[in-house]
Amino acid sequence: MTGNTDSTPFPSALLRDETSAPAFPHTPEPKTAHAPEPVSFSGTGAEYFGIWLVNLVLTIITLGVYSPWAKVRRLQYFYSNTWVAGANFAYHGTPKAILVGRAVGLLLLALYNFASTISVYLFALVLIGLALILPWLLRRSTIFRARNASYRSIRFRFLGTKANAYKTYLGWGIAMIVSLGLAAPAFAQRVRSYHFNDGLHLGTTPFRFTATARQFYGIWASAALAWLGFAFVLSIIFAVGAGVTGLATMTTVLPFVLLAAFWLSRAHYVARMQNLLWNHTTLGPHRFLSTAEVMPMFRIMLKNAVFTVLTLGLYRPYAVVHLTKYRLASLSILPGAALDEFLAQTERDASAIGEETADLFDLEISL
Amino acid sequence: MNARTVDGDYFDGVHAKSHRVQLWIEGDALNLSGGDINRHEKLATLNLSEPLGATARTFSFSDGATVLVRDVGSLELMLAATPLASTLTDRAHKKKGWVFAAFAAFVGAVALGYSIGLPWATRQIAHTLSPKVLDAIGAGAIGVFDQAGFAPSKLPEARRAEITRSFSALKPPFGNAKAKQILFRSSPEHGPNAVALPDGTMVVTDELVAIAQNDQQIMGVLSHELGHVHYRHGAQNVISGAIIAGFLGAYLGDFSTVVTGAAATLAASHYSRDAEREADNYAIAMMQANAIPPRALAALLARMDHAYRAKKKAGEADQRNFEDYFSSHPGTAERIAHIEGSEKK
Repeated sequence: MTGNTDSTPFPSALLRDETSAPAFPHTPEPKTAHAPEPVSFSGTGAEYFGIWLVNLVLTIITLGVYSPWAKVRRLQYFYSNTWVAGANFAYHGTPKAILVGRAVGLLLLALYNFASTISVYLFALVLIGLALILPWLLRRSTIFRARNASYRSIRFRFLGTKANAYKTYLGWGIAMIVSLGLAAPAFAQRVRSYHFNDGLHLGTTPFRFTATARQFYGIWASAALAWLGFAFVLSIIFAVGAGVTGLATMTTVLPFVLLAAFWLSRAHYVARMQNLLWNHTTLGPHRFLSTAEVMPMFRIMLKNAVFTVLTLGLYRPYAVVHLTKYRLASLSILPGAALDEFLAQTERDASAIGEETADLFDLEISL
Repeated sequence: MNARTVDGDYFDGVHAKSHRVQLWIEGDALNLSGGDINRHEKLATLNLSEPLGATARTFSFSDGATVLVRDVGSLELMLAATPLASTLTDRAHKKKGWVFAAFAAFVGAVALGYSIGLPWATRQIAHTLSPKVLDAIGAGAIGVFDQAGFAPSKLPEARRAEITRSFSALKPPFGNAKAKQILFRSSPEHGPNAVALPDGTMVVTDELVAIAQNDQQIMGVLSHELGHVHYRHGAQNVISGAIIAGFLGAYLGDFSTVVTGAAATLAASHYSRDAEREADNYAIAMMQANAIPPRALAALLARMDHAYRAKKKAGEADQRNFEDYFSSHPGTAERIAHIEGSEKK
């Protein structure tokens, strides 16, 4: 919900929105004889630069029509370069489905804007309609994302129910509005839990997610504190700076300070949330270990931001690769059973055959 | 026929276990073999993932099985004479020279697009807009004004009516631009100023009326503003702002919507030097057509500039330093000289 779902690829789609708790419970569980399997990213900034540039040029030339094709190539690049236990992921989404999803999204947005200019009643009607259709769309799009990702030729699958989609998105969405946003961390936890506990599978093997809403609140609170802390320090720096140069007064600079501090605290949030999410996720007998740290993340984000601004955006592909590399490198799988055996038993779900093509409502909507 | 082979990891599509295999081409088919795996598939029935730099590539079989090949260089050589060989555009991504050329073309296209394409496109679009659309843009803008330091006018009703009447009596030099309405607002904060909205609504501050030495000067400023309406500069600003925002969205998209929004606003926040010059020329023509000496406009411009500087010196403008830095009011002196020069012709 924070951030743009387009920017990050699957590993990150799994990683997205996340951050980490006070580092993982440092107990190597019931002593597994199986060595951890690190996750790694083999892409390079220079390579992605070429892909990004060609995507960008074609998207601009076609006034945006090419963007679904660009998205597919980008996701293929990121999935294919994400490795664990000697194999990579694959992305199978088709530009057509994404194009349909974008068209639907655009239509809804247009409807929303149009209704707001006509009458309050119509606007209310459209809002209610959107609230009723969004959980359905979001579930479809989760199914799409899962089904179009594979590992070792085994597709991911999402079996979450419609009822739980409405309970999660609509129920907790309303709770979030009523609580003026205070329920946001709980909402984030419910969404993640809906995705992982209500039906994400690799073939026939289910994922589980056990982090509590309380832990989510802990991270949001510490991120808020970090924000205020940064804002305070930056204010002092700017106050001193402004005093020396007489360039601008505090009131002019304050919004920028808050913005910069907010951005700085992001590193804290992203690292902590990633750890929380993955250290409480299991796949069958296996656990995950995420050890992202705030300071390295902060250095990468700072460097990325500075270089991106200095190069007028051209550094962006390098920045994305850099951050993805770090986030994936800090992740590994702790096998709870012999991986070879597990892999030999991990099966495609026979009932899912044909599902790939037979879906009329194949679309993806990004929140 | 081709003796070349490459190594791959075979997945049967049912189990996640991998099998080491060797691949080679035989006629129009792909062969693979290793352990108890032996397959012979027509190339036409296979799907091969796109080449993306040195990224490992995957063959997909129609039954869901796949083969992962890491050594994409050898694979490329093996596929050289087959229908699965990379196309020219595929290879282009990999060649540094091509990427560099695309990069140069991109920078050139952006520079050209911004300096020539954007002004041209916005002018075309602005002049095809129907009055209804302009009305909508104008209606939106006036609401913004009333929130941004513009209070109801303190001028007497009669004085306001007099100015409105005098200006409606003037005829435009060419075209059929018309002041839809003239709104008066008091704004000590913004000082002497006049603004034209895309729909032909004009906003004049009490401070401008106060600083003018005579009504001819006010007519001059209003003529200048009518020039902006005639050339649809306001609508052009809105349009180019939207285009720039769209471009930046694609370019920086996932970086930060804040950065995108701010950059687009900055890029479209004021009229260009050319637009001011066009409006000045319109005002000169309009004033001459109505027997008003253009030097009246020049005189008022000088007084406005003077007042602005005085205010700034007094420190009142301190808070707005940040805006001032970006809001180029380009060459007032140059504009004054140009307007005065027009009289000598």
